Amino acid sequence: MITPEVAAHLDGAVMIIMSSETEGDWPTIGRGIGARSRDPGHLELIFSSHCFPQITQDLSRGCRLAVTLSRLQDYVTYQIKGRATLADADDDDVALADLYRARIRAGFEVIGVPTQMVHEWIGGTDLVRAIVEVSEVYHQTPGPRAGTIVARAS
Amino acid sequence: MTPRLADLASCFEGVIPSVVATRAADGMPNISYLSHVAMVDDEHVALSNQFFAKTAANIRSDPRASVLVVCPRTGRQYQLALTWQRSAEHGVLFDHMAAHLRASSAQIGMADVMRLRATDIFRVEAILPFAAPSEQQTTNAHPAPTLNELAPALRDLSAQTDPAGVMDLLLSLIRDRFGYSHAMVLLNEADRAVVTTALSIGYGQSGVGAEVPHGVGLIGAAAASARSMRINDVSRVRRMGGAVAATSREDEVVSRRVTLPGLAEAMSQIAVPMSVQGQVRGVLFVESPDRLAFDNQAAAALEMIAQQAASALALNERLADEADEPIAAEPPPALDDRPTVRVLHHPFDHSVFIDHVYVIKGVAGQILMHMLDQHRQSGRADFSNRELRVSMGSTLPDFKDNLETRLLLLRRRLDELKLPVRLLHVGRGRLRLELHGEIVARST
Repeated sequence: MITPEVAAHLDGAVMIIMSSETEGDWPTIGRGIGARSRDPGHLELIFSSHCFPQITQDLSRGCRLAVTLSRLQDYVTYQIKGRATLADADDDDVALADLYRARIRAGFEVIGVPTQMVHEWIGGTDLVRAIVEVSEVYHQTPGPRAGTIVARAS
Repeated sequence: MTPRLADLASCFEGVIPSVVATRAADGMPNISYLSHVAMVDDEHVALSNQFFAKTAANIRSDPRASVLVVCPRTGRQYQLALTWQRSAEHGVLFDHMAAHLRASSAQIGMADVMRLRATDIFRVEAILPFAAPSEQQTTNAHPAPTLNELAPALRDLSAQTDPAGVMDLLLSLIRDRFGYSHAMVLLNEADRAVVTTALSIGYGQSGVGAEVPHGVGLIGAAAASARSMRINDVSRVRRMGGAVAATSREDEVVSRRVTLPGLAEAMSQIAVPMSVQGQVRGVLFVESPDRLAFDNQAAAALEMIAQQAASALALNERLADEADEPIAAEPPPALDDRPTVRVLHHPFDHSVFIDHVYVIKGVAGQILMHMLDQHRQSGRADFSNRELRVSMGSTLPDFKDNLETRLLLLRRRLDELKLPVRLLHVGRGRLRLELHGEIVARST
C-alpha cells in the first residue's frame, strides 16, 4: 500500500496532520512529529500524547486514523488511512522525532518563519507511536488529482 | 479564558494554512489542508472549496467539522468546532473569496487550477483549547498608526491643493507614519482597463508609466474588484513576471511598456483601491520584506488614508476645472540653441516617442500630441484643464475623469526621462509646455 514514492515522501520535510475516529462530538485534529514505514502495509507515526490526549485515548481502543503528509517545499501531499494501535515511544522513535524537528525547523527557516513559531506546531512531550495498518492511500496535492486513490489494501 | 472568534481575526489572514477534519457516515475520519478560512461574523466562518470532494461529501452526512487555525504572529493554534449550514456558489462572500483566491493563485501561476467552486458556511459551536508547548510571543514590526496619529495625516491630505501634493504626501505618510519603505500609487484608466504607476518610493526605478491590466495580480485584482487585496507571506510566490528585473530604455522602446518596479525580497503585499463614490480612481500598493506586515488594523488604516487621498484627488480635479483663467498668449521660451527634437506618434495606441525614447501611450499620449500640435499651429505654450477638456472632448468620449492626474503622470514621466519636452505646473488647472528644441513631429 505504501508505494516507494510515498515511502520516500515520509522521509522529507513534510508537515503531518491527523484525525482519529472518535467518540467525541467533533472530529479530532492533531500533528505528528515524524513518520516511517518499515513495510508497505504499515505506517508508524510519532506524536505528543500531552498535546493530543483525545487522539491518544481514541488510539488506545484501536480506532481508525487519517494521516495527511504535505511537503513544505512544493505541497505534494498524500493522505493515508487505516486502523491504528498505540505503543510507547522507544529510543528510535525519539531519535526520529528529533531528526524530524530539525528538518522542519530548517525548512521553515529558509522561508523566514521564526523557530519559536515552529515549536508551537512540532513541540510537545510524552511521545507515543501510532501504528497504522494501511488500508487506503490518496493523492491530496492541491489540484485536479486531489482525492484520487494511490493504493488500497486488497 | 475561551477566546471569541473576533479575537482570532489574524488567524483568518490566510498566512498559515488551516486544516479541516470531517467524518464519513461510517465514522472514517478525513483530514486536509484548506486554502482559505474567512470569518463571516461573530458566529460563522466560511471555508473555500476547490478540490475537497470528500470533505464536501462528509459534511452532508455528518455536518460536524473541526478546523484548525493558526495565529500568524505567535504560531498559536485554535480548534474550531463547526456545524455546516449551507454552501454558496455566488454572493458577496463568495465573490470576495473567489477574487482573493484568484489574485493569490495568479501570483503562482495557478489561477486556473485554484478556481473556487463554492464556499461552505459553518456555525462556530466552540473554540476548543489546543495544547500549547510554549507561551512565547512575537511582536509586530509594523504596528498600525493609532487614531490620534491618523487624524493629522488625514487632515494634511485634505489640505493639499494639487494632485502632486496629494500623492507625494500619501507616500510620505506611508513611509514615515506607517513605516513601510516601498509603495506606489497607480491611477486608473477605466477606458483602457489598466492602472498606471504615477509615483513610487523605495525602488531603484520609479516605474512611472508602468501599467497593470485590471484583474492581473494583486494590483489588478484590487482595481477590478474595488476591494483591498493582500498577501502576508509571499515567500513561495513568484512575483509578477519580470517585475524585479532592471529594464533599460531600449527595452521600453521595443515593448512600449514601462516595467513595474518591485521589491525582490517582498514577503507581504497589499493593494488598496482608491475609490470615490464607488468609482476606482487608483490603487495604493505597499509591500514589505517582513512577514505579516499588513494585519487587519494596518489594512484598515491604509484604507482610510487611501480613501482620503482619493477624495482629495477628486476634489482637486474639480477645482482645477473651476480655476480656469484667460490664457495669456505667451511666446515659447526663447532659447539660444534649438536642436531638433523628434517626436513620433503611433495613432493605433497613441504611444509617443521623443528622440527615440518611449514616453507614454493612451490618453496621456493623445494629450501630449494635442498640445504639441497646438503649439505648432499657434505657438501657444500655456494651456488650461478646462480648455483641454473642451477641445479634446469630441475625440475622447471617455475623457472626463482624471485629467489632472493624467497630466501629472505625463509631467512626471517627461521629467524622469529628462526629455527636451516638459510640462510645468503653473497654477491650479494650468500648465505650460516647455520645449528645449525645434519639434519635428511625425505620425505613423
